[in-house]
Amino acid sequence: MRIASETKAAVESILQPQTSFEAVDVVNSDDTDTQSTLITASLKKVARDCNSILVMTDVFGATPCNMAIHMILQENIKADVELIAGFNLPCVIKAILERNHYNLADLAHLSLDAGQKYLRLGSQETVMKQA
Amino acid sequence: MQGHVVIQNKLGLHARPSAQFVALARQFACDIQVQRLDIIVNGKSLMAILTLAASQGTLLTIITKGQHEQEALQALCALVNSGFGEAL
Repeated sequence: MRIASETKAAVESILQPQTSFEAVDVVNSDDTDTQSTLITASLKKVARDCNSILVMTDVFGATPCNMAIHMILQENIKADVELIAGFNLPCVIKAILERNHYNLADLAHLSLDAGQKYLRLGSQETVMKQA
Repeated sequence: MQGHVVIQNKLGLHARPSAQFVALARQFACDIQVQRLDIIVNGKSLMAILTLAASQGTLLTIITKGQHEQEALQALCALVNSGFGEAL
């Protein structure tokens, strides 16, 4: 329910507090008006300082993702926006660490790759094979 | 150049110390790699370093190559040996 703010807290505990890094928790998906307002407000806040925005949501096709897509398409966001659905911590960490070095499209791919690459099966890792 | 270090801090090379390591490594232009057994990763990638899953007592080799490789090696070894400012 609070995957966004908890992820943000986890990332900032590792990498220190970050600017232009917003979390919107979709805690009540029935209240679409309130949630939509919060998502839009976050997008517009980040767009004040950035000309590109990478939005991350949980499962593709689930309510938070659908709302984000709707807001991105409907609202007049003064920035280029890309979306990654199904994010995990490696995705976010990679994006934060590399965001000043790549354009939006390349950063999105880099982040996506990290999310996939660092999803691991413990039993296949050397550290567990040795135990 | 290369040097060996043993992870000193109780919680091992978890996320925060790895972030410290990478932040320091990125201050140097040289290539930096970290090796545990047969696994060698980019010393400037936080996620890659985490895949070493290096707990307290783990032996790592730090390999530096290029500009200021000696300074980089010394600084990184010192950071690991300091226990990253955490409980030992």
